[in-house]
Amino acid sequence: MANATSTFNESFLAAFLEIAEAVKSEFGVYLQVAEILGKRWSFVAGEPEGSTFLPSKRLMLNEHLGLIAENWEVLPREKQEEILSVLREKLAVTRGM
Amino acid sequence: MRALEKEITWTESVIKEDQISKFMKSGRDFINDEEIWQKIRTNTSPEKQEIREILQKSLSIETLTPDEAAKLLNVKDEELWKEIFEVAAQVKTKVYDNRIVTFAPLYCSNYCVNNCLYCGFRRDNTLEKRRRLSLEEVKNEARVLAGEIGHKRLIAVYGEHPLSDARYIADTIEAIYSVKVPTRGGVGQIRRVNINAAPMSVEDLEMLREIGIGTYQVFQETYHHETYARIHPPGTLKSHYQWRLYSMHRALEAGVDDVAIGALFGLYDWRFEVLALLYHAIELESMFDGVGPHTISFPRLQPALGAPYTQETKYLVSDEDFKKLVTVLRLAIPYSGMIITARERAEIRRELMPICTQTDASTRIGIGAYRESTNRQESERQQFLLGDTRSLDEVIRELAEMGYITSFCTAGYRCGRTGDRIMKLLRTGREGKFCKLNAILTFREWLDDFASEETKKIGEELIQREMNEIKEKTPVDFSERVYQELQVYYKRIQNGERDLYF
Ligand code: SF4
Repeated sequence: MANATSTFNESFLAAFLEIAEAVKSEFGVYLQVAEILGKRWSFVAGEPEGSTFLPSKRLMLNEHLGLIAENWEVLPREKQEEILSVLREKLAVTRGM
Repeated sequence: MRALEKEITWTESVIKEDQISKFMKSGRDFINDEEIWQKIRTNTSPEKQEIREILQKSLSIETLTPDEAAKLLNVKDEELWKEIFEVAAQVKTKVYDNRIVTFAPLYCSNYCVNNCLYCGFRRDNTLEKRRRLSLEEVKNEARVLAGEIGHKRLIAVYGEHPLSDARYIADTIEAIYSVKVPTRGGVGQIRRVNINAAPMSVEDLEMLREIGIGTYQVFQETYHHETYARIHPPGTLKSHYQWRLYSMHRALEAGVDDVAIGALFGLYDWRFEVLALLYHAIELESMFDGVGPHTISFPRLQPALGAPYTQETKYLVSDEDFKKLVTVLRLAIPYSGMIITARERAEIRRELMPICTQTDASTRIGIGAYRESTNRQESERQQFLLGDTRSLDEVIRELAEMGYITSFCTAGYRCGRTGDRIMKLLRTGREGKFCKLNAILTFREWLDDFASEETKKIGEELIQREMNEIKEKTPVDFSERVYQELQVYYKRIQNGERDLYF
């Protein structure tokens, strides 16, 4: 959506899409990024159709953006931490947050 | 005098011409009255086979063309209409399963600067008692809705007035979200607030988006230009047809990604309005990456105190035509939610439930009426009179007897199933699976917190059938893990946890 994209830049998006594609094919984990607006988590990018129907995990990347992950538990803990730290770093670099 | 001056200054500042003209093509909007009539007039006497092909297209959850919808509207054979209705019900089940979402309207203010000839809130109606709820009063309404009736989803309604501007709307939404009430088995809370409010500027919509509104709903009332001009007196804000028509464009531009449209049937020819709603959906889909209306509403004009047009109009829609129009809308925009409200009598709601997705119950539309009034209707503080005043418990029991599970699910917009993502999930029939799972969980919550003994018994039998169905569909439609997870969540809810969802 128009406004959501202004809260991060292309380099964050590129990094996210790369990670999303990799974890989807390797682990069957589906990731989306959403903008956090009060109670609302508004879809920004990622696998639009999801696949597992399992309850998704919501993880805050910063106060504006969140990661929605289906099947997150199957990822090894180090992989989970790596994904979160890469994405948070990208956001911090691009927006100073 | 001061208040009046302030009102005039405010009114003059609302419309931003540049936020309309940028969407128009060669100075024209996307509703071409002549073209719509031409579609209705030329697509007469469709062949049965042709109609069946159109039905198949709808079953594959593709938006119909105006020509195709016009052919459906022109079917004369009553036997064929039965078939059309059955396919409409299949479309609904394919996209949303057998669940019906419930909500309640919450009227926050009935001050209005407009003078619409069909509305009890119009400025010149001196019989109307004017009132704007304070934030504490809004919370009191929410306490009744969330703590006594058991609603989880509201549509907050506001007249168009400086006293109920975007700031007030934002404050009321935050007030509603802040309310938590202890219930029999857990905590009652409103989890999704949609709004029905006047057309706004991109800037105001951005403010509402920031606080996390659910769906933004604006009805065009009538899409017919000439009729629109006649019933919305010149000089009023609402007389600007295009400012209203492009409300959803501005909302989507502002990043409000769930939008809802509707028409007030009875102002003009119903077949025209059906096609115009379809044109609206097609326009949004083409401008915003496939995002069309999240829901469509089709209120029928009802008598209202001090609203002369409700008696004069020659376009009032009969029950038979009403069923046809809802059916064609269901088929023409197959992914969209369809809202049938308590304006309609119980028997009509019953008949149309197979093709609708949302309904309200225990409805009160007077300002402050949830807290203050009995179930009595009060024309001097309502916009119109309701056709069905049954309680939520009664409606849920009836739905359960008909095989429909009432869902209080508000999960979608809290986990990214919004905008183009929800559209794709709906079009592929995937959202229906979430609907099935979340309906069971939220229905269980409601049965434990609010249901009468009789409703609880019927509701539990229904849940058992739903569980069995999911089991039968495992592992083809649902994985073993999803089924197991559902069992775990269900037990946790029975043990008093709340708001667990897929
Ligand atoms: S229909 Fe809406 S805008 Fe018109 S008078 Fe009624 S409340 Fe005001």
